[in-house]
Amino acid sequence: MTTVVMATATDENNPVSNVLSADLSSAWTTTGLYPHAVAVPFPDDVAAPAFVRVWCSGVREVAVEGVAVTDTAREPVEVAVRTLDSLREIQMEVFDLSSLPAWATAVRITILDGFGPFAAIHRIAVE
Amino acid sequence: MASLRCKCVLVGGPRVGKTALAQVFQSGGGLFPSNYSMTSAVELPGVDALRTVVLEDGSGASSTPASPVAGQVPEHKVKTPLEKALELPSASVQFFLYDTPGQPYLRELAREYVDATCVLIFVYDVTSIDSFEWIREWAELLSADNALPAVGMVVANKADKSDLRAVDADLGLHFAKSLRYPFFELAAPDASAVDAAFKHLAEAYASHYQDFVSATRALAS
Repeated sequence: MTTVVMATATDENNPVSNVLSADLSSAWTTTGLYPHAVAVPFPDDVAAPAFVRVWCSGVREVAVEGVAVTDTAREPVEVAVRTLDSLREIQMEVFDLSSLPAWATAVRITILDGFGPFAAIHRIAVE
Repeated sequence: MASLRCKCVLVGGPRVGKTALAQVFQSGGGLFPSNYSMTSAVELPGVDALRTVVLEDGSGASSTPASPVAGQVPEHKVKTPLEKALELPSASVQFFLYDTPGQPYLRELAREYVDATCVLIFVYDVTSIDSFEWIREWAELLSADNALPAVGMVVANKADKSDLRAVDADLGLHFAKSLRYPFFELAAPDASAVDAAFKHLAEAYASHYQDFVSATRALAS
């Protein structure tokens, strides 16, 4: 069972565990200022992650990196930094993880900027 | 304690009292700068200068941004104010106050700090019609860029100088209403009035957060 290993904002009414739920009406919300980040380990049944889908709203700029959960001395490997449109709806972005080194055991999603003071991630799915 | 964090930018012409307002709020009234010294850079209080405003209604939120201010300010001075926290209630708003220079030739610098993610405080001086026109220009500039923040307030400072008044309260109120911001007339040395204005701003910010949460949930349907 995957659990989120790191999040920079906590609101007990919109917990970070919401990003692991397929229900898009529940989300993890940031609580002011940027950047905010969340790290999700690769699921046990995924030996080599191919890509990650992120469903988000209110996010202007997002960065995706591969990180090592246990070996924190490893520098994160950048996968992509992407600027999104200001659509007032949930946007699903796909990022290719196939080039990550073997030591990367989790993906870190960083919201670098938003269209307002708050942003949300509805779901993160590594496949 | 549960907390929201708020980037709060003070904008307005020279000598309207932005720095005084920031320092009085930050210090809880202990520090009113009686000698004018022009703000030449964007000043951001150090992290230990955080002012925490605690609200009665619980929003149940807290945050630790990955690096809340690193890399955002080209120069800053670390001040020595007191962190003031009110006790008990379940929500709080921590303000990061950006005090911008008011001189027109430094407007470009100040402009970089305002965007839709911050909370804006327009400050003008009731004894100066120019200072009122100046923030009207600012508002037009920001609206044209779609950068006018959703949460903010208009503060008419030096309201104690009634014999020198040049801007009617009605004008200020009308301007604030056009932006959907609350309007406060006060004098910066009056710490309780300054506190009340910031508390109102904190409530508006917390309410904006709750609206955002509700809207976010509704997006999926």
